[in-house]
This record gives sequence, structure tokens and C-alpha cells, in this order.
Amino acid sequence: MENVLDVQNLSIEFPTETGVVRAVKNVSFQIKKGESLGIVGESGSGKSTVAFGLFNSVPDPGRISSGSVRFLDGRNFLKVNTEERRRFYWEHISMVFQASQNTLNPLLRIRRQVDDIAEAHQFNKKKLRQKAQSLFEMMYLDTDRVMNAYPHELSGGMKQRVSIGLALLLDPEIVVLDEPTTALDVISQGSVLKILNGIRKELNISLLFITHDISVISEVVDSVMVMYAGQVIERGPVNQVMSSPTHPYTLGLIRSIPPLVGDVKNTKGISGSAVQLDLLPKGCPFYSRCDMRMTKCSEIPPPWVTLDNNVSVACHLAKNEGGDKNDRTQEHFKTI
Amino acid sequence: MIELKNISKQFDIKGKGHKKKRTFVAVNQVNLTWKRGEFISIVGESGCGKSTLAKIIAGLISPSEGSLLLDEVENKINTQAQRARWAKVVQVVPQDPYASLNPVRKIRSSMGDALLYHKMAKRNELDHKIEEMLDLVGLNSKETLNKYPHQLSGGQRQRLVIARALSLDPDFLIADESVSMMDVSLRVGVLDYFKKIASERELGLLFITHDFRIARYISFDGKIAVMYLGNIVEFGDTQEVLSHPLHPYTQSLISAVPLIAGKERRIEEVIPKSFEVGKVYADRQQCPFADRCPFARTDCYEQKPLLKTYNGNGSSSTHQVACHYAEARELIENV
Repeated sequence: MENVLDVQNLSIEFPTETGVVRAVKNVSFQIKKGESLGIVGESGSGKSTVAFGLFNSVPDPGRISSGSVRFLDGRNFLKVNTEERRRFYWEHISMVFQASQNTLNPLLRIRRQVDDIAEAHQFNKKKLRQKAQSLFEMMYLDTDRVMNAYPHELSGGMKQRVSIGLALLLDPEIVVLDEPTTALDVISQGSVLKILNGIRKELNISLLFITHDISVISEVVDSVMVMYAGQVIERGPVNQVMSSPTHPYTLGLIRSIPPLVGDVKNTKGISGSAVQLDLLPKGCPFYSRCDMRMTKCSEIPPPWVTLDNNVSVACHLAKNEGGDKNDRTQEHFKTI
Repeated sequence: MIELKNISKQFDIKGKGHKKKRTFVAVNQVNLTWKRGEFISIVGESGCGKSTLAKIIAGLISPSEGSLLLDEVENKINTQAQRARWAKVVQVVPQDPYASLNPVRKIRSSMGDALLYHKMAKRNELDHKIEEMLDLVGLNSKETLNKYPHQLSGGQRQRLVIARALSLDPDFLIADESVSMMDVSLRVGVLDYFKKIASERELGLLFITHDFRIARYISFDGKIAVMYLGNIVEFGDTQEVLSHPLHPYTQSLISAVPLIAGKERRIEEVIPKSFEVGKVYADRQQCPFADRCPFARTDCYEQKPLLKTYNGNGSSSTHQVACHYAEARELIENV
């Protein structure tokens, strides 16, 4: 199957007073048509910066220092001129932000914002309004009310669903969602996740779901990529990664979610505070917070290993034998 | 022991043009007993009155009706002196550790204010007292005292805010969504910290959250109260509420929590008819959840169910629910 998105060796850096900070380091990934990917990491791990990189709109003073981003048409998107890029947005790739209340124009009714999109992309306004109505219906929204409402008349969850509906308006192949549920209540979050799961199956759209909460993604993505300090440290099918995480950081992320059933004894946060990109050791970036660290971890960067269960991981402890690896995690679960 | 007896709080909504003047009930006839050393979580969506209830208990707003008892003595909080006295009994840890420390003041001065106001420290011993407080929450006092809030991480700020609340040596602590602004990986650390401090000092801890995972973790051996539109709709031991939720609202909240693949599995799902929080005004006599309830029958719109002990299928006698047709459902199981 063809790739809707192919990112190769993307690096993004921010010059600061004390030196250049590399927020994203050699990140590569592909998304196939209809397939969804989740990017997980704490604040400061570079996950949102990757998303800005895809749109070639890294906030100043950041810059993309190397790499390529290719969509379906195969051109390097980072070399495309501004005018063409503008057309590309929304028609091929669109984005839903965390604070959706800030992305809707507070002075315009929702239907006017639909018209705006039609105008900017030279689509028929009437047809697009009809399309918006059917999309809003899919989002469990009261279509007539929403179309005529100003953003402040809608609740946070409704605004987020409107934003998702608008993002789908021009049939993009891929939708980037940056923490789409973080600001929402449990039931609104549940509804958004349900909707996303529905659209990716019904409309065959690829999602790139960015979140710090690994528990929200298992139902909406096919594979997951865990980032730490701007680097990908583990990648694989979501079920594999969730049920038997290999990297101690991934394990830490999963272990810090309190369970709804059973014992809470195994629940444990990750020690230390979020990454400081200017104070990284030569070796593994997770060294200082890892509770399974060894001497060589601080000196030698861990190699990228692909395991039998299709999971790739950057850790000295990972071995290319499925059995061995499973024993280790199991044992680790027991010792805590 | 703090007791709430039929506590209500109403807000008048002004009429405008053709709109009638109405009364909005934020907290409705709440009864709650909270002992020293007891952990209670209050769960509900935004707009369910959980923060209003917390403010009433903290003495920050006064209830429209009902009474607040401390060790079986009625406690009025009307004057500044009464409020100051109450502050030594109940303290609040606010939601946002970024907004609750003054950005232009050093930690030293932010932390010392409460002690000075309540005359719990003289100026010459203030530094010593603050250092003690910081050591207690595991922060390096020498380094931290002369810093500004922006020089500290979110977790450190959260601990400072907890230390400040504890500096008055209260018996009860209210935490209002205290970890919802933090990264998931750091939340458990702060929750453990709350648990440790509260058990060591035998504090009553009231934890307000919208997340059942957090509620279950913090009050694992305590109680959970589920609130909807100002009413407590379900109350009981944490384990009991989680394993056999009775109220359709509790069931919808638990059903909406995303599960961890490979660890948890859904047995049954309860989906509310609407994803939006409803509104109930004082002039309506119906179950507050009826408009969204997938199981609502005609009586639900005619008569408001009261919070009663549930005795079906051998459930413990402390499990209470406000539903005409309460039915225990098992929603999630271990894989």
C-alpha cells in the first residue's frame, strides 16, 4: 500500500542564548493510507514540534535543519513554495489543535467559517455547507444549532467536535490531532475518541494522534511511536507496545496510569522531571531517570533494534529474541 | 469530623428581555460526613458543582441553606475572624500551580504570607519555619527559597502549593483537580505524596477530580461521591462504586474512560443520550440525569429520586444511590 506520509530524518533545532537546542533529532516514520499513528511523550519530548515540522511551520526562531517530508505526490514538502503549500493544507493534510476554542473565529458563526474555507480553497459554498452538515451529524452534533452558533455558545467538547468536522471538510488524506482530548471532560473525551475511531474506519482517513496520555490512544491508532528528548525510542503496533513495552520509558508511561480494576500496587510514576534538552548525556537520553540504567548507557547511544514482534526500540537492554525480552519485562513487573 | 447537613447553594440568574429570572442550583441538599484521616473523592464533569461544594466546605463561599458542623458543633463562617479560624481547620490546594504562585514574588515571600497572617510565626523565625516546610515536601530549601516560580518545574510548584496549605497545620485538606494540569507520568508521584502526607498527619483528604482512574487511586481505601448537577447521585466505598456502579451517570463516566489495551477489557458500556451536561433549575422536579439517561422512564421526569442505601444483590450497606431504577452493572474486567 502506498504511503500517505513519509518523513525521513527530520531534525528541528532552536537557537538559544546558550547554544542550539535540538528539539527533534532524526525522526523518520511512514503512514500508509488509512493507517493511524500515535505519538506519545511527556511535555518537551518534541512531539508537537514534529507536527509543526510536517506543516513546515516551525515557530520562530526554530528551523528545520535536515530531513524530508513527502506526502502522496512524492515531492519534498519542505521545498514547496508558500502558495502551493497553502493549497495543500486542508485538502491533503489538516490539523486539530488542543485549544480548539482558539482556532475558531469568535466573531463568526460556524457556517461563515465553513464559507471561509470554501472561499480560500475555491470550493462551492453551498455544497461545502451540505458536506459540513453531514460531517457534524457524524460528530453527534445538533447540525442546525451548530451551524448558526457562535463559538462561545458551544461547550468545549462541542467546539472540539466542530474543529474535527471542519478538519475533515476537504477530504484530507491525513489529519494531525495535537492533544485533541486533553482539555476535555471524561464523557466529552470518550465521545471524541469514539468519533475518531468511527471516521478513520468509515472515511479511510489516516490519523496522526499526538498525546502525553498513552491510555487514550489504544483504541484509535494502529501503531504508536514513543518520543523522548526529541528522539524516537520505541515504535510498534499499539497492542504490542501497550501489553509488553520494551523501553523502560514506555514501561514507565504505561505504569503511571492508575488501573480501573485490580491492584494499584504496580502503579508508579517516572522519577525526576521532564527533559532538559540542553543537559543530555552522551549516551541514552533517558539515562538519568531510568531505573534499569547501566554504566554503558551514559556513554554509548543505544542502537536501534527491531524485535520479533515488529517493535523497534532504542535501548541497550533490548535483545533481538522475543522470549528473552518478554521475560525481562515480566520480571521487571514482578520486582516492583 | 466535618458534617454537611442539607447544604445547598443557589445562584440567581438575571432575567434579560424575554428571558425569565431563574434560580440555578449549583449544590442541592448535600449531606456528607468527612472524618479525620478519611479519603473521599468527588467525581463529576465540569459544571456539576464539585468545586462549589469544595468552596463551601473551605468556607470561601457561604451556602444558601443548610449547616456545616465541625465535631458536631454548628459552625458559622460569616466574619473575617471566623474565616481565619476555619482556615486553620480546612485548607485548599488549588488546581493550577502555575496560577497560584505570584510570578513577581520570590518563593520565600509567597510561602511566608499565610504564617504571618495567622500569627503562626514571628518574622525572625519565619525563614526557619519555611525551611522546615520545604524540607517536609522534599525540596531543597536553600536553593528554592530565593527562586521565582518560573524557575521551578510544575511538579516542584505543586509541592510548594501543598506545603503552603500544610503550613497552617490543618486537619482537613481539599485538593481541587490538583493534578489535571500535569503530565500523566508525573501525576502518580504527586498523588503518592498527597497520600503519604495525609496518612502521616491523619488528615482528611477530599480529592476533586473528573477522572475515575485518579479517584480510585487516591481514595483506594476510602470513599467516592459522584456528583451530577449539584446532587450527590452515588456514594460508597471506592471499591464498591468502581466494581458495581449503580447510577447510570456513574456507569456512563466509567464507560467513557479509555482502556489500556492488554490490561483491561470492557464487559458492558453505558452511553448517555447526550454528551453535554444538562441544566436543571429550581422549579423542576425530576431526576437531574433523566434527560441524558439511556434507561429513563416516565417516573424519572415526574419525581426526583433521593439518595438511599442500596440493598440489591448483597451489596454493602454503605453504598447509596439516587436512582429509581438502580441496577448494579459490571463494566470492566481485568484481562
